[in-house]
Amino acid sequence: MAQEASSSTSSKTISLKTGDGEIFEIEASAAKQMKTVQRLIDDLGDDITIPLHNVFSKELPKIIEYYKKDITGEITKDFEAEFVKDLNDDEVKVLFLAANYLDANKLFEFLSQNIADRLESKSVEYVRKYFGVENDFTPEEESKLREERAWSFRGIKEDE
Amino acid sequence: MVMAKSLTIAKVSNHIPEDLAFSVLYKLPLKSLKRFGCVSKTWSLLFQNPNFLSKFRNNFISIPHSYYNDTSLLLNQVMYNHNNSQVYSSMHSLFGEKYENRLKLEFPNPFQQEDPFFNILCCGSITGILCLSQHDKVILWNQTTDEFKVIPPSSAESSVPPHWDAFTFVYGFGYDHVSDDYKIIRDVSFYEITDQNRLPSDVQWEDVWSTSQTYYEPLWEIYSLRCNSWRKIDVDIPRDWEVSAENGLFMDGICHWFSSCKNNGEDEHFLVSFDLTNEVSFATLIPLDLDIDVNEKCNLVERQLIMLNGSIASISWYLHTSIFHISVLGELGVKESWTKLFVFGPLPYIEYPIGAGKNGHIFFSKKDGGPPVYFDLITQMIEELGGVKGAHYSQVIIYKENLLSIGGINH
Repeated sequence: MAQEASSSTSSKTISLKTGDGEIFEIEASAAKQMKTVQRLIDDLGDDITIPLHNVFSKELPKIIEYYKKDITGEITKDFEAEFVKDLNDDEVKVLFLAANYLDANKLFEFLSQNIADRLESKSVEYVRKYFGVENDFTPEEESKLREERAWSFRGIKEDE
Repeated sequence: MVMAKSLTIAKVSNHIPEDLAFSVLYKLPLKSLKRFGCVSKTWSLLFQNPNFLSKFRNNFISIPHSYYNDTSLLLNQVMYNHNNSQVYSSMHSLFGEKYENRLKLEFPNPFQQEDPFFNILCCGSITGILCLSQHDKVILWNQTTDEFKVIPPSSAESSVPPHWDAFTFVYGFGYDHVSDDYKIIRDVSFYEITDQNRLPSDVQWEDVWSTSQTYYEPLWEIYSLRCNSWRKIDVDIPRDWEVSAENGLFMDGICHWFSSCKNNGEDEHFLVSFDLTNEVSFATLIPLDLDIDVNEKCNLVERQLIMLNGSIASISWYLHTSIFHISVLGELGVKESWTKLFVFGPLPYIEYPIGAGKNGHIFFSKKDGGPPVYFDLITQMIEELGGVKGAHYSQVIIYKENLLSIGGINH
């Protein structure tokens, strides 16, 4: 949904440009909740289109939607549940990383809890892949640790 | 626009910086975290990372568990009236963020005593019914509806000759949702009355010597409120196991208490759990090295069972220090799942724990007999309970209102 940058006479909305070149509008009060954006506004002024190299057109509208609700005080448990309902684990991860880049604390905390909830019953392999962590155990070390912590694997379906 | 979208996909980084991953991890439950310790070496050492541990435990006690929904805190204090050395109870419900508001509650008085006093069995208060004890008398009391029921004696108590006495000890009380019944579990042991002055008036001392029976087996009994009677049960708990802490916990249909026994001369400590529905018990060993302080030569550890934000936990301290350790049980029955979460102190004025509220508030009695205080695990500060008196003995319990009638009859 590309739009033209807003005219410099309005200080109520800020223009944000994603890494893939799309432009979105956001209210100044919502922009305040994203510390990275606010810092850029402080440096560049609020009548310039703020470039966000690491956020893309797939995620930014969703983030804007969240903070639109936040400034009207309408964020409820139901809204948050609905917000992530149709997202898969990878999509939430992208949003989470974007929230981190934007230093949008409230969204970051919410998404990290949502990811934790999604990962709770997952396998070790799934979590390794999800976070891109390399397994630095030797097979002997890993099997010894798994044995020590066998109780934590009960009822969990392991992959492969 | 299509090209922009595919750029998005390519940009999804597979490796997440460690600190970002940890922001997610500290919000996971204990069991998941222990399992994910197998992801990598760093992750296996998460609980040794002070920064991570600090975030984990603060999160652990900050988000209130559903166990505490619609609950209030009760403070029961047993005081001595110095004038006539009478013991009496004073009970209050505490409200407010710092428990600054108080509502005095009156105990029932089924025995027409001038100043009734009761201990509250900490087990089972979450059902809305309180199990009160006064020496060998037991009463179930619904504080909300103000109904009470005096628990009758069992036939076992009078199954021995008159010069024998029965000693009963209640271990747990709770609600069995399968049979929709409130149950009490206790054991009964028998001892011969050797003090001539305590023999019933119709028993002759000479008769005592003529009895052939010199020992009566202790037994376990379970009381059902529905049947209003006791029945003998077989419980798989060794005879020599002693209850090592006064009060138990009730949660999700299971009564829990601490026990200890001697194994090859060494003390072994266990969490005993009794399932009220299928009436089966099982034990979880508490590893001795759980709270060992390598600088302490003396290994006499005091331990109490508390509930920490909906999890079973052990709070322990050495008799002569005032440093406290709190470990949480990750999974019932699994001795490896005890996880040390908090160490705090020294708190030199503190005597021993008297209960736990929600929000990581641990209540303590004071050595000088002054009013109880509480330690806030998040702020790591001691807070006073304003306007509360000191007492001989205090206990703090979590109580849930219950509008259901006990179904019982007042006496």
